[in-house]
Amino acid sequence: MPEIAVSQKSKVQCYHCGEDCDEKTIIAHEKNFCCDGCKMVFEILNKTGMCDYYTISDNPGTNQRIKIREDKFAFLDDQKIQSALLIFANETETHVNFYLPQMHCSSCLWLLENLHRLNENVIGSKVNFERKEADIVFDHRKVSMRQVAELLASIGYEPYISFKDLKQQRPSLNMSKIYKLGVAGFCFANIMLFSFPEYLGIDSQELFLQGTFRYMNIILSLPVFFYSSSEFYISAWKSLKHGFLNIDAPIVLAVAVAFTRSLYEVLSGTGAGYFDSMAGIVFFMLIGRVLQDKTYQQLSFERDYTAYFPIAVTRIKEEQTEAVALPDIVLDDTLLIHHQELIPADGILTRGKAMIDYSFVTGESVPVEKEMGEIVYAGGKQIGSNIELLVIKEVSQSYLTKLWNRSELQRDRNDEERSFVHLLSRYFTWILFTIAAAAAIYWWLHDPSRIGQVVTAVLIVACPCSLLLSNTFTNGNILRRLGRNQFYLRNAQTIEDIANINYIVFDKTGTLTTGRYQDINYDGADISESIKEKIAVLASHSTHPMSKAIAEWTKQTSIQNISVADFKELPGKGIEGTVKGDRLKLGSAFFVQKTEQGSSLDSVVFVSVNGTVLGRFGFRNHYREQVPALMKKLRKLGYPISILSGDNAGEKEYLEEMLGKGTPILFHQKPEDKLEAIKKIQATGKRVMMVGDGLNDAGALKQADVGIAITENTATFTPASDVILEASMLPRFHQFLFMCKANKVLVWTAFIVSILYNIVGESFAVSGNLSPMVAAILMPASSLTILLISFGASNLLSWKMNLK
Amino acid sequence: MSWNGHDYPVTFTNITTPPTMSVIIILLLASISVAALFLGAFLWSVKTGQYDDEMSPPMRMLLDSVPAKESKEQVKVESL
Repeated sequence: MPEIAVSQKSKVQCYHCGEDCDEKTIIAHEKNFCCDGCKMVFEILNKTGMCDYYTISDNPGTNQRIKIREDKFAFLDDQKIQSALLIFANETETHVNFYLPQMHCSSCLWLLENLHRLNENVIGSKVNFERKEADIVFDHRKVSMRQVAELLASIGYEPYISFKDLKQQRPSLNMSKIYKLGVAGFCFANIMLFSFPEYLGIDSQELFLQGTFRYMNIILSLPVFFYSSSEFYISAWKSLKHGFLNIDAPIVLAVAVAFTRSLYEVLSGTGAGYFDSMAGIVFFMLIGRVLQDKTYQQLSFERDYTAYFPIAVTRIKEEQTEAVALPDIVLDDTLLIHHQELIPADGILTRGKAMIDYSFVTGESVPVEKEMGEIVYAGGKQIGSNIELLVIKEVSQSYLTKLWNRSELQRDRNDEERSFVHLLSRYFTWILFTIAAAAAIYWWLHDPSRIGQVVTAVLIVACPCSLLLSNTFTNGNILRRLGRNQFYLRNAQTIEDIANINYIVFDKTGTLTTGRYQDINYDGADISESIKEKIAVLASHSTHPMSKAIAEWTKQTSIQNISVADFKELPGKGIEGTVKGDRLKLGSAFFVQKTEQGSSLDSVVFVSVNGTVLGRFGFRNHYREQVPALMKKLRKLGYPISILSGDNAGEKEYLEEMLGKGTPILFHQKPEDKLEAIKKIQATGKRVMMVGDGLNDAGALKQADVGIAITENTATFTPASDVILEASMLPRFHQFLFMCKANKVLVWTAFIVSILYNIVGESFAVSGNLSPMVAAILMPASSLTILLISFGASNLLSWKMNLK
Repeated sequence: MSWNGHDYPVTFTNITTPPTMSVIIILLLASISVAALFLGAFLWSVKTGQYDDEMSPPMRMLLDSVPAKESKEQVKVESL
């Protein structure tokens, strides 16, 4: 019976992390676990009676297959590092904030806020889910920061502590706009209330009431004019100082004119003024601003190398190991780099065999082997055994760091002046002045006493708030829509930049490919099962990722007990050994056949048995889902595409087939080459979008008009960019481009509608009939129409495209 | 603006006389101060960081838990 049950439910799920368990399922406490790590977490929680963790959400854990090195958090014993990390400390307690990227569900929240039940010396903890951070308070007399970090790691939430944490404080949220919005809303609503008697008409006997209401309005409009609108004054003043008229300038003009005229009317007893319209404009425009300024707290678009580097590494000093913070590494230090650890500084390899994964730094998909005495550059990840390095350049001087300090990457683009909205508003302002002047001349000829009244009415009613509203509301809504589909934009201006690009450059490794997995295809004579087994035995003796991939390809599982005699591994060439009497060789063409034949590319491995070549294994990067289909769609949309890869040219044919002949595909591109390539394309007048993932793309991402960083997990490091895109959403990339393009059309549509309202309003104003009531009806009506257009149309669009 | 004026009782045709107006003024002040109270509550809630994290409170309220020993400094530190 159990077998049937298993076959129906194809895979066994791990009770802790919910992932499929392979053959090595661990059964403990009548539950299945995929690995020891998951089981251990369960046991810790079980012991303290915290299994509620598993009932709040199903399989809430994260996979624990990769073990955390025992003394990984040893650096937290260092006083200097401690004091850089803690937020507050007194005699009895310490507050520290840890970034826990594994946090994802309500179970996580519950567990992390109940840390005090796991260790009584933890006083309390509070989770900020959006930032994936936990503020932890502990009694440092009884438990150390290192122990707290280890406690978190032991239950599956390993704190992510990077070099950056040492340097700067995290920025606090800017809530000033929210305050301004609150005040403006309060004043707007009350001014409207007090203006009702004016709209409805007041009996001549109620003049006392009328006066009271008008003076109340003055009082209420003061905070709006002096506090809430300051947002616009500052922005308009800044751009005026640069000799540039931005959209806020006419708005400031309208607000100021409305305020002074209303003040004059009330004080002179000639009218009620337009306090209601003024407060309304400010209120609605602040809503738009707040909507548009949606920020993704969990993401950072400004990361540099400091966020990628660890906070500390192990240094060997007089035969002793100690943790040392990155800035304290000096020349001639000897560093001990463990498996899966990052190399923080350029150095010479002095002990051990280095196998360094540079895929994130250079784009090479295959790890590089280094011999003792060779120079190892910072940024790579060591795979395999421990190595020792003699530092030859300090962290701030290393090759990788220097790339970041290039001057052209330091400048910031001016967001403001690029938007077409500002251009539009400038025309708008000039037309407005013309109308005002024409009306002034007309009334000067007919009834000079009304000039002031008419001109101010023209300026008040025609304020380009509709344009600004349509812009901010549409941007805000599209920003949210895209964010829900894991396409996170740095700010609203990026939408327009994306709509304007006409050239797309892709990185290969890690962007179009997953970088980690490789597809193998075997080409040659048939291999019998017994030979396959022998190949598997030989390949599994090497830690080289290609050997590992071959061993996996053979699908042989019971090979642990077969030994290899006379095993030899020649770095960069291949491996050989005798298995069950047969001499096997795996490696490059030259190594296996002693002849230079076929392609000289790294991504082919030949196999021979007793001197006869059987065939070759071709390695191909594993492309992300639907990449060819996406390329086709992008080309159909008319975007020229280029590929810049740091890898070797092994994939050239495949890429050409996918993109069509004549597509520029460049290989062996160093980070600077990529940057220069982007510059060259820009020099031909194209606006370039760069899509990349690694540190080697960082320069190009910054240089491009729009830089998009692809990541498999938004919690991990991404280089500075304008957009962060979750890799699983790459197949929908063309739809995101389309959304951004549609944004411009929507803003235009809303703008045209607002112009129609303006014509109606202006006709009242020019003829001298703009009563406060007409203004009070026109203003919200136009705003509401614009809201409907921008929200309705963008939601309809994303619904049609099946986006979330 | 006295309440015990000689023109009691008020008739609806007579609504414009100063004593009744004072009622409206009082109502007006009352309504403004109630609204101002709400404004104050809103500003306070923003200031104490209640909008910093919009995701965890809705989850937190559904979880039964043994309350932790609250630290007095906690709130102060978070608003840093």
